[in-house]
Amino acid sequence: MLYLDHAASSPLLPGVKKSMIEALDWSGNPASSHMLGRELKKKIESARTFFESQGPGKFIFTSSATESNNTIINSHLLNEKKIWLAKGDHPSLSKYIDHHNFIKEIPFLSDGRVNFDQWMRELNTDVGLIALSHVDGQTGVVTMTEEQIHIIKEKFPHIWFHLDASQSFGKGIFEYQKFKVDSITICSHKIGGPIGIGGLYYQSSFKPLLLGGGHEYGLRSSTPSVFLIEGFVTALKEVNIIWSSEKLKELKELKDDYLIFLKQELPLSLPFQDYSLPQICSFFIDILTSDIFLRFFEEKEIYLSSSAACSSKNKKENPALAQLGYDKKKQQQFLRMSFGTEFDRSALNELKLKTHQICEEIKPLL
Amino acid sequence: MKTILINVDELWLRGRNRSHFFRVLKGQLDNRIKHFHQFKYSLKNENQRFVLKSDHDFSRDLIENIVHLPGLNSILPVIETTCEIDKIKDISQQLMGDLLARNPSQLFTFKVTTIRSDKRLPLESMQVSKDVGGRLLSVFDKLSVQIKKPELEVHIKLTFGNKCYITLEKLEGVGGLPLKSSGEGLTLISGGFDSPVASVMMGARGVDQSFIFFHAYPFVGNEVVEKIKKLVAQLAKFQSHCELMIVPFGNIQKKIIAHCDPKYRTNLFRWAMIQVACEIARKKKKDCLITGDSLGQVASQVIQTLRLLDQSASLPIVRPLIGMQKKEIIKKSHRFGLHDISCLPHDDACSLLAPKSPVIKPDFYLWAKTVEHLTDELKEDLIKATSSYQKYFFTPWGEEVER
Repeated sequence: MLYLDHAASSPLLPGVKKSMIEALDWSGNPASSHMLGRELKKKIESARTFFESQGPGKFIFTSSATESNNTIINSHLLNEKKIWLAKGDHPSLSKYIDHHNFIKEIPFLSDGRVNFDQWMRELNTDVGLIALSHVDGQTGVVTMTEEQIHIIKEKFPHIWFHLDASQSFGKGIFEYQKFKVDSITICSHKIGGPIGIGGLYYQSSFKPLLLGGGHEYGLRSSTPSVFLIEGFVTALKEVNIIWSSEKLKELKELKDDYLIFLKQELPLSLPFQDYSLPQICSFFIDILTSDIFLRFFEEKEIYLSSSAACSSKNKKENPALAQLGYDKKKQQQFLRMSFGTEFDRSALNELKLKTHQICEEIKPLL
Repeated sequence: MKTILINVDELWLRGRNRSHFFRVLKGQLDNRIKHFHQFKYSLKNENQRFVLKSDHDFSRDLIENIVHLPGLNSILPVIETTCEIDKIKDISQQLMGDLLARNPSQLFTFKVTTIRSDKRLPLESMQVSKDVGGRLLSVFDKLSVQIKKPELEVHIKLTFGNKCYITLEKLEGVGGLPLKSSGEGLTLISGGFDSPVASVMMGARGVDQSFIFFHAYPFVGNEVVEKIKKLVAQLAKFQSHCELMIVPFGNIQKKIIAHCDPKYRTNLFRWAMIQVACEIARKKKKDCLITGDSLGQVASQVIQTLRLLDQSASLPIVRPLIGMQKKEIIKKSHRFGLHDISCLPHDDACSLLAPKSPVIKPDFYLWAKTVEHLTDELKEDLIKATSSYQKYFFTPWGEEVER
């Protein structure tokens, strides 16, 4: 079995599972003043301290990346200043475009990056918020460089810059402490932590989405789930080790190697190769709908994605690819493999072998 | 007392075995009534028609379900009274009043039809129609008479035992013969318009059916199974309890693709389906296969191919749509409540799998040679397919159940 869909969700890391099982035995409410409550509170705050050492400003736990994104956008809706979003971004960001007329759409290049020059000409001071995925979940492309973000923040310091780092956080390369942004969304199950918990970094306060007991600095009421937090923090500690710069270099080599091999088997378009994360391998197969490949791989126990996990079932427009200018036919030829750290040379050889078998089966039809 | 009259259709044409099929049909009706009606009821054979009675109202769901049962001509929810003209007039007025109250501010054309089965009764049908029509016209100013194709029709039946049945509602059944009166079949179903229509047509000729679908995974995704289940859930209403078999077909297709002249590819897919279906049908003691073939509709439906398929089959292949045109098929598809389900989008491997130039007049000898060669390649896969299918079961009210 080869699991090549880490961008959708990464399997629980072994240490994470162990820490969570242990934490299930911890009873009490972290808000209680007795010893059990105080113990729990201590565990949570120590986890928070570790998270705060990894990113900018303060940190709160949320239920998901979706909640983190929604929280920031909602807190900016009332002042009706312009909000810039990407039309093809993850739905937790892009859904707002249809509902509010003061929202503007960020321009993109066909290689998956933000069209920075054009955007800079359109950006002005009448803007309250920019919210955007740092790495696109489907193409795997880093939409904006650190420098570009800093240029915007220098020129328009009053703009709240929100970055969704669900795909990239914890997986090496980026030092988020140094990012000059106002808030960052992160996600547990993309780094091998449990599903059901996410997080939000922020530099200054905002209007909370949930009101209640005033948990999480008063910004996110809900009794915190200690065992999910324990799983999340353990995952972050583990990925800091396994997602080393050597591993990333290796993955980049394996990816390029695979694409060279695949190009000999099938006609491909590779607009994202140079700008995507080493662990995300996305491409178009120019002659066939990728659904078919997805199933041929599935039959051989290789699991990958024909678009984002949330939307691959509906065969409507794929907004992420549409925003880059690809038509519906092209969108249906899109395939994404996303690797975890377990992916290595021998896994690549297995992938190549199975890919070759599949191509042999399909070739007589072309 | 609530009453429904249920008229049989072609059972009239049967001779001495009529009473046997009446009992079979009654059993099928009982089965459906018991599901929808929790109260006591009686279902009696009165002068070669069923009379269904209960102290409690019959639900719309029951009435609308019975309409699908093959062998029935019409279903009439009626009011029963005695053959006295004043009572008949009063009840007709009341029924009409209720209907007009449900559709305020709408004008209607109508007529009254009276049938007197028991000629010994003193009331004459023409006179009854006239009297009731006169009463309705004098009471309701929204009504006007129209004899040809009126919007409303008052049906009055004067029958034996001084009984009179009155109704404004006559539902048309699918007609034909009761299920099982013409044996059992295995229907090859696809996601399109034709095969489901073929199934209903043969259901109405009295063929009780199971269904078989050839699933082209991995060429086609598993979503198509949901669509097929929706289709069969609707087809099941025209059947007694029925079974759907989903046969994995991708591996067989892969072999055919790898080993055969692409010109013959589609024909060979069909050939393989017939082989597997015949074997499953034999095991299940079915009498025939049913397909939705319409002659010449696509290249693989030319008469030469059908001949080759028939020769390779161990059971008769029944093709009720063979001489029908597409628009007639679509019309029937609407009528049987299948059209919208057939329209649901689904993955179709046809465009991928269809050869660029399929053979339109297959050569008999070349074909025989190809098949002979293929049989060795495919033997194991074909045998495996006859036992490795998934099974689903459906009730006559279109519900999927475990069995």
